[in-house]
Amino acid sequence: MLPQNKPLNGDLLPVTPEEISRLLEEAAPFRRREAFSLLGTLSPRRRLTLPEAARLLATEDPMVWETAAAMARAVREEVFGRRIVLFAPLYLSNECINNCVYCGFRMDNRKAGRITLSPEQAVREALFLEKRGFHRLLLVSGEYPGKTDAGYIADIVRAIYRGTGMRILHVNAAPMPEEELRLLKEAGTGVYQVFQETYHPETYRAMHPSGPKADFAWRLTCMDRAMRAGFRDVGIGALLGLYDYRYEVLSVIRHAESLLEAHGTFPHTISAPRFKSAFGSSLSTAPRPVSDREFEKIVIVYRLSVPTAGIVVTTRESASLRERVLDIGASQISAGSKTDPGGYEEGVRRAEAEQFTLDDTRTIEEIVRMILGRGYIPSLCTSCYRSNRTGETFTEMAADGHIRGFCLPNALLTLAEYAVAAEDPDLRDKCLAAVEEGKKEMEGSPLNEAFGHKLARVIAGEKDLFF
Amino acid sequence: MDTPLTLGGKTFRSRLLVGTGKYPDYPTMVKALEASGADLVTVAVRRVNLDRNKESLLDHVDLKKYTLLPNTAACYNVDDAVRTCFLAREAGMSNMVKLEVIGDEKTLFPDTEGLLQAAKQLVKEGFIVLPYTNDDPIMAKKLEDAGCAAVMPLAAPIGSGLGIRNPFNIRIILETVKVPVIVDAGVGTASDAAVAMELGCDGVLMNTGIAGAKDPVLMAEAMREAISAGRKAFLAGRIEKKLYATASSPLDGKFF
Repeated sequence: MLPQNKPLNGDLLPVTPEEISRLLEEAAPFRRREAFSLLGTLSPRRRLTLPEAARLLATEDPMVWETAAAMARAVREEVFGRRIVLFAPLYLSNECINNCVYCGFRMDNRKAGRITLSPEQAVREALFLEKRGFHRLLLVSGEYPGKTDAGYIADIVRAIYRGTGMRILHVNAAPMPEEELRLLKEAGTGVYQVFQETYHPETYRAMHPSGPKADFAWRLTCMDRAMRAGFRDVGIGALLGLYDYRYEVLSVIRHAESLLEAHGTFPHTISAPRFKSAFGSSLSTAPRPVSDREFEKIVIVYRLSVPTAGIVVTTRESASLRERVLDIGASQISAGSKTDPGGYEEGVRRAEAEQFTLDDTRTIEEIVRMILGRGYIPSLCTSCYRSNRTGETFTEMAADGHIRGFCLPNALLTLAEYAVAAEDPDLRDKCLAAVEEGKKEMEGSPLNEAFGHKLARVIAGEKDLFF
Repeated sequence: MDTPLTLGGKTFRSRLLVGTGKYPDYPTMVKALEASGADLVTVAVRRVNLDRNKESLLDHVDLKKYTLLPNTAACYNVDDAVRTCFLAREAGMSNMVKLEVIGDEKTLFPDTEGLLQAAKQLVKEGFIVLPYTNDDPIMAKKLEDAGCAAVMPLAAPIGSGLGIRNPFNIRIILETVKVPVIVDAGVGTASDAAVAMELGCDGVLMNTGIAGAKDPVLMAEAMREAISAGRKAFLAGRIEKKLYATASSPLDGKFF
């Protein structure tokens, strides 16, 4: 483990900046025929290698990207089928001693309204989200020693499990020592998520001028500590727009590979957050803006390079872009999000307490309708985390195409449960019609009979049935 | 005349039980299953594709010919193993399960504490439980008392091909429990299987010994014959071992 503030030692880091820079420099664009023959061979088992990803990112040919997009969609469906997972973030605290220049929570933002939820307040927020239909939450917190440390988050995790019907809680919080991560794991956290923001050391220094987050290596090595602390699923990502997106994407892929090499598992999720302006941040525009077209390329390359990972696109993005990325490899989206602590219950927008500005402000009901309308199945499933299909087991099963056999019945069961609870009769009918449609796909599955029984029980009002 | 192998009230002609993993391809597996003469074929539930649109191991096992025995390979705790058995039952594979609770990735030795716990839960839920266990007579008795339909002690670590490392323990297990004793894991070649049967075991379960052989189909045939020969030798009753020779054509008591 690298102690804090120790000078960088490239050998110990899962991603070496020199390697990534060299890959970028050496990557020749694909010729069309060359790209087609490669893309045709890709599958959950045959992923895009790092040098191939570098070459694809260097390629401009729109026809190549069209084919790559189709492959990304095909690979996503091989791994997960037609389901799109829905989740909501629950912001616990915006108190932070870091000074990330792009973030509304930064310490020097004197105008920010600071809030740290008590366990009781967090439970109320979770109950609000549970009522809307969510079963999984991502708890997010700023870094403020003594206020938002592991003990605080673990208390919240336990309180939400105790006080609500939430089925899995994931955590996005600052890098911690192994013993603190163990507290989070033991409290029942599913996925532990930390984004490196930028994998480019100089940019990192400029973006994180002070606070513990200024330590690039401490952050970059934190997933190794998480694995040793007992986490089997971790989430990684880069904040797109701080540096050359191609460099960041290759670094994320290399980070994923290093987790596979060291711990036998790919990251469970890769998030693709893009720079958004935030109230009170000192950086109002992205230093290296990423266009929508480039964002799509990023989603495609993540999917083809790390086929088993959930690719997450949040409400930072516009409605139209979020819809588009469902067709090219994204597999998880948030819905109806608030990024100000306590924001759900309050019900009014408090820009001065937000982490960043949201773009897609549609409710979960609208998102469910949109997903159904595009031919996908909205899924509120949490079964893999609770059936130990995690870490290495998940990576193996997903690469073998064995996870989608669970995804379909579990997505349909949770959709049926959602429909039964829905207040809007039209939405209920739409969901149930999709369940009926999905039932046909189950015919021939060894689980079909048991699925039929479970579905009947869910329609009759039972909850939380899964495979 | 031999009696058939009976497990959980069902009878089987063959005393050889075979696995379905590690074969170079499905056609070789199908041929090897055929050559082995086995009735009971074990499959790792974790390896079965439940998606009907994909090629699945189950597409290659003729269920008219073979009885499936789902197993909980790769399950490292009680919860996992129990859940996997339920999944196997829900997927219509079988109510009879080969229960594995693996203790350690390197040795794949069973976690017998967890095994016993899982076995108790599953028996209560109506499963016919065949537990993969250590060659430990005390644990074998506990598993029998828990209601398991057989005990399946290992000959040696899974996939090791070391043969029966402790035949004496296997003999004590045979004397200790009344349920069928099936040697599970560690059999490397035909003579290992024959030894198990000569000891009086009711059957042998193997996978790597056949699937990992250079010619899996020929090895399956060899195993079939070894099981049959070993069983016959056990029933026939072997002669005692002596230090000195005993003439094959004794002269004592003859005419001159």
